[in-house]
Amino acid sequence: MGLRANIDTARRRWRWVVGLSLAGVLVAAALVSTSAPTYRASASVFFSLDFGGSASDLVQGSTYAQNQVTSFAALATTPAVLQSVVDELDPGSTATALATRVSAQAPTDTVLVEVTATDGSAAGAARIANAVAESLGRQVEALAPTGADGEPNIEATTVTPAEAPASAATPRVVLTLVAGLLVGLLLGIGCAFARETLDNRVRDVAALARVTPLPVLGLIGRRRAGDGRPVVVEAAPLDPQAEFYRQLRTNLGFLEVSAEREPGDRRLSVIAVTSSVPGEGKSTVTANLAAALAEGGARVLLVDADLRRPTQAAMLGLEGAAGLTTVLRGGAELADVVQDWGSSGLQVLASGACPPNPGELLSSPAMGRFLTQQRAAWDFVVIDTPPLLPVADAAILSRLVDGTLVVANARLVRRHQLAEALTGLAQVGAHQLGIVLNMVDREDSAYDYRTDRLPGQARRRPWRRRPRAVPPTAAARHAPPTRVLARDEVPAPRGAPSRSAR
Amino acid sequence: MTAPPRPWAVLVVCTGNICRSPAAEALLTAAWRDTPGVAASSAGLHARVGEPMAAPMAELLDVPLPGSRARQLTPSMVRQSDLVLTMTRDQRARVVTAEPSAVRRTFTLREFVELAELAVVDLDPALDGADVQRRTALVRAAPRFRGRRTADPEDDIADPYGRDRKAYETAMSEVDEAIGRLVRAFGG
Ligand SMILES: Nc1ncnc2c1ncn2[C@@H]1O[C@H](COP(=O)(O)OP(=O)(O)OP(=O)(O)O)[C@@H](O)[C@H]1O
Ligand SMILES: [Mg+2]
Repeated sequence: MGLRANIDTARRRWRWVVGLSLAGVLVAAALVSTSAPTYRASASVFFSLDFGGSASDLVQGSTYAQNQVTSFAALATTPAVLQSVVDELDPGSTATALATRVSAQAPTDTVLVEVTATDGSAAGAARIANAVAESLGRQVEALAPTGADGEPNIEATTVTPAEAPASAATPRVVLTLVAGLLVGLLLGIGCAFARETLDNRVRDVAALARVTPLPVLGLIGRRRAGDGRPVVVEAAPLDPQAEFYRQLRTNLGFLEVSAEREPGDRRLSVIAVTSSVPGEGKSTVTANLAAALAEGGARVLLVDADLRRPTQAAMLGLEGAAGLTTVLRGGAELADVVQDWGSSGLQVLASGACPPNPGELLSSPAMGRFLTQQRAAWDFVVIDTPPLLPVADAAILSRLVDGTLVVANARLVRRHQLAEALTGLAQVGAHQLGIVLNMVDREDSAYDYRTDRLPGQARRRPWRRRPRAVPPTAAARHAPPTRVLARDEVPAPRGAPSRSAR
Repeated sequence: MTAPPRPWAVLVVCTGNICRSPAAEALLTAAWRDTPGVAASSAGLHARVGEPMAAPMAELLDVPLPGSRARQLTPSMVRQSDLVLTMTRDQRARVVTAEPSAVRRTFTLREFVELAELAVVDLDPALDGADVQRRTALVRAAPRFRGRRTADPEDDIADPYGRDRKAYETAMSEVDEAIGRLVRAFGG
């Protein structure tokens, strides 16, 4: 679980990781390109003690020299050594200033002092290093005790003169870039996990389970961007998207109504679809569910009871001026204004003109009578409604129907919003059928989906995931959007739809 | 097959009933000159009642002008029509608002042409020729194909009234093209 969750997080929030990594690299690149290059050159000075005596003297002398070179190295950055260099190379400067650009060290167990100089130019660095090495030699010789012959008993030789380096010492391009990348990467991962912890959306089935014990009846993946045909079940029946809705249809078949709306009739027939907040995909789910039910041979009436922002007519390409409100105010019979849509005999009742008082209209006795009549006339009546939290319409309707489906948009709704909406539904005594999780990352959730269960159902699904849906034909997938949809995407119309075999 | 008591009626609707809809009516009437049992008429949602067809539009028409002058649309005209064609989606909504029961046989002209062309492929081949039953079946089948196309602004034919000659030419050629396809879909 832990690793899996982490991988999921990384997959979801990869933009953060990639973005901040890129930012790190960019900052590093900016640093590199704005900082002036510096060059570094080193010269080595060898110190030998000249006692001119026996082998033991030599040994002694070398030990003495080894003990001394550390001091010689320290001497390299003193004005005693540097002043002459300054005088020679850059009379305008001072020994103290030069000291910051010169370093010297004595590798242990050697009689060498390595003088390193830094400068804005390669040649300059070499020149300074050599001058300092030479000056150091002279100073050491001058400070050393003189031998019997009056010669200094320490001899300094510049064994490795400094050469102009081929490349700059700083900035270190690769190192800086890699460091930038790493810092960015870590920051990105940090932010991704922080976001994930702060994110209170209903990301997946697991997150949903923390909000409600209701069963998940459908998991609807995200439709490809730019596919302007929301009712995939009709427009592209072979698309995996269409399969999601067929699964929802199948799962509904396993539910039973708890109460008998009509004596002896326990059908789950009139289904309202709602959600917590606007834009979660109610209308899309409603239309596709209705189309999937009709495709299965049932007689289905799709009703747009979102009288505040009706979208079914526009989504289905129908005329929405006549519909539910027309029937409710007695302007027409249902049979006059219901519209045929699609190849499976789906019948659609659009919203009709928007009334000023949708809540009153929906709670009117006329609406109750209308639903009772339609319940008797159809296998399924699927009702699109406004969202629960902003307005009471869906709560009102939920008492008139056999059951209510709640669409939860994994990318939109917050856990507390969903919880609040469900509490509201429970308070009015609605029969909550379950949740349709919309816009989920299907690949991630497939496993959870299979193991989730319906109340009263065996733990291991009766609705085992079908073998992967046939992918849409290459042509269907890549064809540019056309006004008139390709013929081969639609099955031949069925015969007259019959009363479904329930 | 018993002949219906009244002709199979197409009602074309636009705003003033002096430009687009009378042109469509005239073109339909001319195309159906030799087809018995069909009738085309037109009316306006805000008709310039009594006016003849606007001169710039009439000049572009190469068939006889419609006999009647502009008249105001009434619900009963809609009720007595077997097919109502409007120029825009907005007009379609207005017609349906006035007579909700017409919702299943009211289309914009261009929408209907596309739907009819889709529907005609699936039509029972036994219903051939240009008879009433075939036309009725086509009108009934057309709405089902709404799922196969996308309703969009292309469904509208803009009102040329009060605009330049170019606008009239555009409107006339759009109406002419749509009526031609419509007549073909209906089988002559
Ligand atoms: N699974 C999905 N994948 C991609 N886009 C989706 C999906 N479901 C819905 N949408 C898109 O989200 C938008 C809102 O969807 P829809 O109109 O169905 O929501 P709604 O809940 O009915 O909104 P409202 O509260 O306004 O009635 C639409 O553009 C729709 O196409
Ligand atoms: Mg909606």
